[in-house]
Amino acid sequence: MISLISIIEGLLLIVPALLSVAFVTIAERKTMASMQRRLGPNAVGYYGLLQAFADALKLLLKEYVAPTQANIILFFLGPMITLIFSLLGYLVVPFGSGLFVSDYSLGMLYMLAVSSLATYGILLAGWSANSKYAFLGSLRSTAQLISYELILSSVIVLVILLTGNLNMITIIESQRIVDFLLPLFPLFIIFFIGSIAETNRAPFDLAEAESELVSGFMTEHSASIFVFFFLAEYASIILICVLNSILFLGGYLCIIPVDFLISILNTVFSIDNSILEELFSNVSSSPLNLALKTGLLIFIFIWVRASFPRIRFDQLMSVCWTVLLPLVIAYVVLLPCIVYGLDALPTQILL
Amino acid sequence: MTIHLLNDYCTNGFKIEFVDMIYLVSIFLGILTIVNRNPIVSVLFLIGLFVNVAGLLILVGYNFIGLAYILVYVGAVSILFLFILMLINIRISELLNETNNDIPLAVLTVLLFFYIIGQVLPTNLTDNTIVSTLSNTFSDERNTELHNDFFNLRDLKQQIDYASSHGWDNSLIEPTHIASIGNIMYTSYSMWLIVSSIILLLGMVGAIVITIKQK
Amino acid sequence: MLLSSIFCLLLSNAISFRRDTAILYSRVGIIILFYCIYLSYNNLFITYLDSGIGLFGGLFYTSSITQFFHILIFTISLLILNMTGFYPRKLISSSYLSLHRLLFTKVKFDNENKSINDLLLKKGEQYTIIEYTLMLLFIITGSLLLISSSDLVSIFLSIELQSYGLYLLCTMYRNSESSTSAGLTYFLLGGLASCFILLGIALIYANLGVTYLDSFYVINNLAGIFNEQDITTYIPYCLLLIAIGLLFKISAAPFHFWSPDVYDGIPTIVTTFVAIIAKISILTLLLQLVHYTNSIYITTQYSWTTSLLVSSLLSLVIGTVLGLTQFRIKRLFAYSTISHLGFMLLALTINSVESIQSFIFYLVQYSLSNLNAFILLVAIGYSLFGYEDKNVHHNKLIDRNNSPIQLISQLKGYFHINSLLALSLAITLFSFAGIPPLMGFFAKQMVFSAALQEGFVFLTLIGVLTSVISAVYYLFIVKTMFFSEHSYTKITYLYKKLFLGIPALVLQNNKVIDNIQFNNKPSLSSSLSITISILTLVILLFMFMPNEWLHMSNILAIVLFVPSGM
Repeated sequence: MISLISIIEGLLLIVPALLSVAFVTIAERKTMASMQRRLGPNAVGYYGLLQAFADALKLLLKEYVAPTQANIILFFLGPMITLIFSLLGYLVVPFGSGLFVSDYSLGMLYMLAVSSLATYGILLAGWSANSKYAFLGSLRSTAQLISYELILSSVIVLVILLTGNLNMITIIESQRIVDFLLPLFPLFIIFFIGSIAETNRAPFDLAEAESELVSGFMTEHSASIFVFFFLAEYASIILICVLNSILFLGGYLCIIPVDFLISILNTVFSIDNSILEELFSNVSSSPLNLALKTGLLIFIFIWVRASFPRIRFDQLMSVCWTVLLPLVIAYVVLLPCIVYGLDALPTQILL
Repeated sequence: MTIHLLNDYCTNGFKIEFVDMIYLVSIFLGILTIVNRNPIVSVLFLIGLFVNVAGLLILVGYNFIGLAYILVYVGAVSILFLFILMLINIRISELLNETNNDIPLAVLTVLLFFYIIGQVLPTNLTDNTIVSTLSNTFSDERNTELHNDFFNLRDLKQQIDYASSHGWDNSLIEPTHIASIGNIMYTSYSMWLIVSSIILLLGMVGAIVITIKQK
Repeated sequence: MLLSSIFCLLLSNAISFRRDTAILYSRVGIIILFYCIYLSYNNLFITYLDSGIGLFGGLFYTSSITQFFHILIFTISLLILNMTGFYPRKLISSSYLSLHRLLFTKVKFDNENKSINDLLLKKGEQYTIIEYTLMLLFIITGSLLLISSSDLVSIFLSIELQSYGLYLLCTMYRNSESSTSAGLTYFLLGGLASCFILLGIALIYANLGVTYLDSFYVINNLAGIFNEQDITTYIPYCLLLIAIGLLFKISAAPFHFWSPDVYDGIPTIVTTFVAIIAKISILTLLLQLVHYTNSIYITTQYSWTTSLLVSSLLSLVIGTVLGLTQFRIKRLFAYSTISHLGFMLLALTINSVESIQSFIFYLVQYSLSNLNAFILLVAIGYSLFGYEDKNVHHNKLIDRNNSPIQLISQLKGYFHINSLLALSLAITLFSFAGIPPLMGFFAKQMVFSAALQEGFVFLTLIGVLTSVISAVYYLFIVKTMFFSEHSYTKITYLYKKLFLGIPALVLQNNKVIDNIQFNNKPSLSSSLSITISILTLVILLFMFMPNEWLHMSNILAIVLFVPSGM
């Protein structure tokens, strides 16, 4: 019985995640289209909303093609690993106050560990296909992921320094006064750049640079195996946007200063609007806040993709190691000093 | 999801069978790591072993150490390992030399090693294994007594774990692993921290020294 | 106190990374080491040092023994740094030697052509690696910590610090293939040894729940009294595992196979360091371990120190017998080291006052004479610059730049080229072999008498026999040096230049004031020759003033044995 419940829990988490992936793909195509002055998908469903499902159906119905010289087991295992580990990260995300699957005390660490494992899928898929393009793509992608993971985890360490806990909910709740966006704005920029690189998105999509490497590590993958990669990519984009908004934008906390508004309403209209208050308090920590913030970040992802040209691989790596990393390390030295100087070390909040 | 399910199960009553299962899988993976001819596949089995051990650590309650294990060994060390192996591209035929002659020697070494280790391991853990019966250090009486002890201990452990992981109030009292590790590392054992940081510094300097291009 | 000051120095050295000549760094290192010697000598006068003082919450400790070995390590590494701190050859001109000129003028060579630079070996590879000193200091830190560590985990950490440094030092000469491969061999086997040490430590912790050596000793001795079967059975095995790891690191007999390859592969200057420092620190640690855990010997039939005796026996035999067939000189030195380790382990395991005394004395004298032997090899390599080898075989040796002398036959007839160096080498080798009036003889004699007193007749016999056998290969080197014709010819173009004299300008405030000619043959630089002469004289003249040395080791041994508070 208990295991049945936990399976249902899992399904309740995964299915919406995959659905949101579908809609993010449509959103991307529509946004790109309107930025490039064209229509985008508009035939399937109302306003082209069902285009993603049509594509998925098409891919699933295609024939499996595996190269003859490939290592078949690893060839199929790679995409699966990628998908599984990009979905595992959703486990510790608190979507609203009290709305989570697991309130893990080491949530942040878990997130890091799982995201570091996702690299294996790409590495294996690229290697096992026995193709030069795929192999080059996977090597590029792995090098990129390892390098940028360093930046991401150092930034996360700094955020943890301010919260004093690895628990996601504690991190969110400690932003009740002010979002970390304000004190740590440069770090947010660095983290955002790092997350674009970590998800292999343009302008850092050297791993699947179409003009050089056909399509990188997934050159040889087709049909439903390709769907796995596709899903994994977008799932990890959503996940990393969620992570961004949890770390810097205050997660599910309300964007609008509710108390302030209510007090204004009270003073201006001088009426007891208890219904409004109830409404606001419902909104104030609802999952919609997280959804809004994440949606905004995803829009920025797409925006960046539409606006910037792709950079060269050596530029990518040198930006990571010689620009971003020294900056982050300088912050690692500076921030504890400031925190200690202001006597603002966080106390242990156990929720 | 699997870790979650295991965790879920764990909070509802820790089963020692899981630990046994993980032991068996670990041994199996270890053997596969050695036996496999293809270096990349064998590294993959090694990674499986690491994940397994990390799972064991998480299962018995060392959450932080388990996750750190995954993060460091699986997430960083093994990836680099695999990366290099893929780059240097060893031909499998080169590794196919005849090693059958060494098998008796290997068996002998392993037996000797296990004899010594069997003597040395804490008694209540090795009690019902082949090793300790070989080593013949305990009388029968003692053996049965310890056996009973062992089962009692197991029940007790189960109960303790049940109690400790199920109670909500524990999280209020019990400091997390990170807190306690940090507490120890930065107070009484701070010297080790300094020494290990020097080792890391040496490693960093050394890597630079070895790879830097001289004019 | 001492340790923290070393850390400060080390870190300041590490931070001040200027791309400068490596020679400067070596000299800075020498100054640092002098300062460290001064500090640890000062620390010898701390009250209560006899009983040992725990540092850093008991994770490390210091006593007069650790301080003494600290000084020894500092001195030896000082002398080793001396080899890279100064150019190996010098030119002497009598007109330049007056004090006034020496202080206020600069000499500039007229034509900075390649041959003079080659002559002075300014571009030798050991002068271009600036991190050499840094590595050395890291290793010294590791071995100091190892000597004074009193906790199992700190033992492991400091062993790792020391060994990582050594692996890096071996691979640092990247241009030579042999040194890289030797470094890799060393790294892999050293890693295996570390695994054994870690396993032993983990088992001790799993069984006893302590990592402090003090509490470990207490439990050990109590176990001896109570005669509890299940406590006493596993302690020797745990210690055995740790000892296997340690013996691996010092290349004692059953685990010796890596050392000849490694010593042979790496450059001679590095070999000097690798061969001596690691052994001093680990043997000192073993001294402590053996001394405090020996009492368990009474209650159980098996003691882990018996396996040390086995290792000693094997080291004696293997070191001598395999050494007979070697024709490469550094391999031969490696085997001779193994056989000497046998003596040291024997003295260590007996563990009586006299044997500990002999152990300390043996360790000191052996490190000094081994150092002398290696410095002599380097010096001989430098002194052969002006000669061309007729033997084609010798010119084909790989890696000639880093270790010029590789074969014993290269020393053939060396007496006729530079008789003083040859004599010094002969004296050192005689001391190795244990020829009576020299230092090595007394050390061996002390070990034998201690062994006989405790009734180890068989091992003593083996020791005597092997030392006789090993005399064969030492004497063989001496014979090739003195009684053969050498195959070297003088390189003519160099000598023509030398006879013409090397033109040089003497500058004062950047103005040329004089024009001199260096007419003399370039000779060994004074730093090398002074080091060699001092060491050789110590070995030779030991019998005239043995009291200081013997008293020192005697006092240290007594300090170890007499319980504190007396």
